[in-house]
Amino acid sequence: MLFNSFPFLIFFPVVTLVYYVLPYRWRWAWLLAASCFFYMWFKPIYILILLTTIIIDYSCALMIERYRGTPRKSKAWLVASIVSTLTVLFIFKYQGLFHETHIILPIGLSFHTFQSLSYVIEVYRGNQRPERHFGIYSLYVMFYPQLVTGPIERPQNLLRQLRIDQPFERDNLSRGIMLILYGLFAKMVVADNLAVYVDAIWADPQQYGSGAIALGLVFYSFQIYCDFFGYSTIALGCAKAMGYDLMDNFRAPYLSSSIGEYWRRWHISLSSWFRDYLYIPLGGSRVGVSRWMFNIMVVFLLSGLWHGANWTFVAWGGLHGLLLLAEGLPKKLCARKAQKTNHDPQCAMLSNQTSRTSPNSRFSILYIIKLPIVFLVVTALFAIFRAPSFEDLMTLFGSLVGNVGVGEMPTVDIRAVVFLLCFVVVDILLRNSRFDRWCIRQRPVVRWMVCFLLAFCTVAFASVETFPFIYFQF
Amino acid sequence: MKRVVVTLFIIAALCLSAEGIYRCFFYQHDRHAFSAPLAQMVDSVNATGADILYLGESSNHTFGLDDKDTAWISEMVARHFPRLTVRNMTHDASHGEVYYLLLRNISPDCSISTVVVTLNLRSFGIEWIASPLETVLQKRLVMLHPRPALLNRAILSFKAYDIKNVDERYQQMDSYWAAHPLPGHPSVPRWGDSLNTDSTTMPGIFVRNYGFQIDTLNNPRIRDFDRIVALARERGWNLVFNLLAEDVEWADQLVGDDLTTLMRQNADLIVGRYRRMGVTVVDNLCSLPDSLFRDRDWTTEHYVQAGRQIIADNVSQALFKFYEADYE
Repeated sequence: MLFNSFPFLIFFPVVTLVYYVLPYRWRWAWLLAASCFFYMWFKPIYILILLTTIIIDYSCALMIERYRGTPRKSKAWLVASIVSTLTVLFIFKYQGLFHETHIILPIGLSFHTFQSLSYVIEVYRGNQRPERHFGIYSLYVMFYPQLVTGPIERPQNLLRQLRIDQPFERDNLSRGIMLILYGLFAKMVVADNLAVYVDAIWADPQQYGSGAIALGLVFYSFQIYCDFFGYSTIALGCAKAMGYDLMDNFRAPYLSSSIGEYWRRWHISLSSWFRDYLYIPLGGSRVGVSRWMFNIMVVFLLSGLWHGANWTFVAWGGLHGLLLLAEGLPKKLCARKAQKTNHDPQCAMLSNQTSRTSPNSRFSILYIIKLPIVFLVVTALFAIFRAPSFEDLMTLFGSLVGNVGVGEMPTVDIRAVVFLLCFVVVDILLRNSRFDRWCIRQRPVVRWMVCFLLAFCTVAFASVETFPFIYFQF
Repeated sequence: MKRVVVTLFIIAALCLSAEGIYRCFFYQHDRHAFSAPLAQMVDSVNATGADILYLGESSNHTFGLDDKDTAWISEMVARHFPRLTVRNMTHDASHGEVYYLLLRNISPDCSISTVVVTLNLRSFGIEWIASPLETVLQKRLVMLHPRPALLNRAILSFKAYDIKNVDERYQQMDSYWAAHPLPGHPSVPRWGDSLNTDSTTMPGIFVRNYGFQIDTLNNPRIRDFDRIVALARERGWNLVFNLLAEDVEWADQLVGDDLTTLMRQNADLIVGRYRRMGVTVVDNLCSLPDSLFRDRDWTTEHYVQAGRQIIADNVSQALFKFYEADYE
């Protein structure tokens, strides 16, 4: 079921209402049934794939716990879980890398696969007790708000909350509804209206002038952000309405002053997953320079690959990795030199510079210079992400460079630009907060007005063209 | 409890305000943007009125490549009534629902005395009901539905109209053929492949397009034309249904009289039904020989000049009883 559809507008209040009416002991069953229904709305048969992953990881976690005293056996169960879960992912997602395939990717496969894996790994590490209740564990994987495109939750956060009786609180419901409205606005009004322009540019870049293509690239950066941010915010809202707190997936990523900071603010649940379960186990940054470089590249190449069976994603991830290396290498080399010489004035300067541009020191001159540079770099790399193939990418960049002063300009919907500006302003104002946290602090009249405006704009100004959530394909 | 009532009251007040704001400032823009060209046609007719209003689909304007006179059927009708204003509302792939909504949007103050509605036998079959063209058509119709304006916009925003992709449309057709085992030819190419069809596939195309029996209880077109009859009564219009000619001669050659009998039965059912309701029905089903049909790669109601003239003459004959003094 799509969040931006009429059925969901019925599904959400019914599920939430019945959830609160039911006694605590039955709520998990209700939510699980609702989540199954939500997932099966897309393609019912694919629930079997989800069930397979659930059974595998549920059993493996129990076996890991059983053989906790025997490290070799518990490790074997961990490996078995990882291999079998990733095999399912490979079969459905990555065959296309090597030969043409007609298998349709089950929606959200990469997301719930990673969520399952985080559970097994945390159990193996001893940070999480294995869940013996099969229904509760299934709900952890299938919890409808975040089932399809995340946020990719950790068992310490979500599984713990699923075990707690969530009493009805008016504030939770209000905040949930506010988040849903804001998410729908971001997706349906901002992202989808921009998508009309972006798709026109990508459909035939040679027809358009450089300015139009550059604008299309900038619009795509905001389209993908608002699209994914919108979904995540609606997910947060649905969960919040029932008293559950999911992790934030975005924190104003385009206000980053470095690529490193960007990755701490963009798709946080995925980047922190890679950090916790791949980067740190590989040694993280507490290793030699060459090993650290290797670690970064592995993480980013795999992060790119996670997005889909296309080499453009791998290139996108790889380039982000290289940029991160370029950003971190001077600091890393200085730290190494300082270790040898105890003090180096240049390194002290570098580290001072780094601290000045940290997220807390906003609006320094250096930050204002860096911000557009980082945004433009991220935007350029998103062109690789968006390109169906390298050939299309070359055509686009060729037109971008070659069509200076020639070519057409597609019609820009002025309302789309106005709504984008509104969204950007709100993003700047709420860069260290969240929409619902700000909203709930306002007087009731302001809250009502904000909700009314969001709902009205969503209904009256949403794009009438159909644009699926971009991250559905992953 | 009091709080809930107050909240519901506020929500109701906000919904009413939203509807008011939308209708005042945005509705007309959206209606023209998303229902083009249907909304423009309605507005144009509303502005001028008409003695005779002709509603049609591509059969009205499609002409043969060798035609000397490329006049539309509605224009040929107008030639018989030079002193009357004859207007048309024509949109490709239209059917009963489109006609009903167009007429529903005609202002009650608009001066119209007679409405001629094209009645296309094929439009009662699943190949047209579930045609891939239907998604675009349904999208254009949303803003014309007699509902609160903001609700119509919400239906567009949330894509809650009959929106299906081509595969889903074909599935809809296939499940119909599975449930209604007339001699459907599953191997017959779909609309998208029609340009590549050769003569050997034409029998299948005919069977798919005419091999059905109209179920008056469930056929959506019957419902639509019934609503048109009721609307015409309410507005005091003379109503004429123009049952278009089909290439019965070629159907007989390719498939045989099993199919042509079925076509005749369906046509009789429609003609009888609406004549009993007091509608003037022009039965053109078998009025044209195969030579007057234009297309050879699909079964259509696209006629060459002489064909359009015969249809127009028959319609004009039927209109004679309303405008005896104006007929030439």
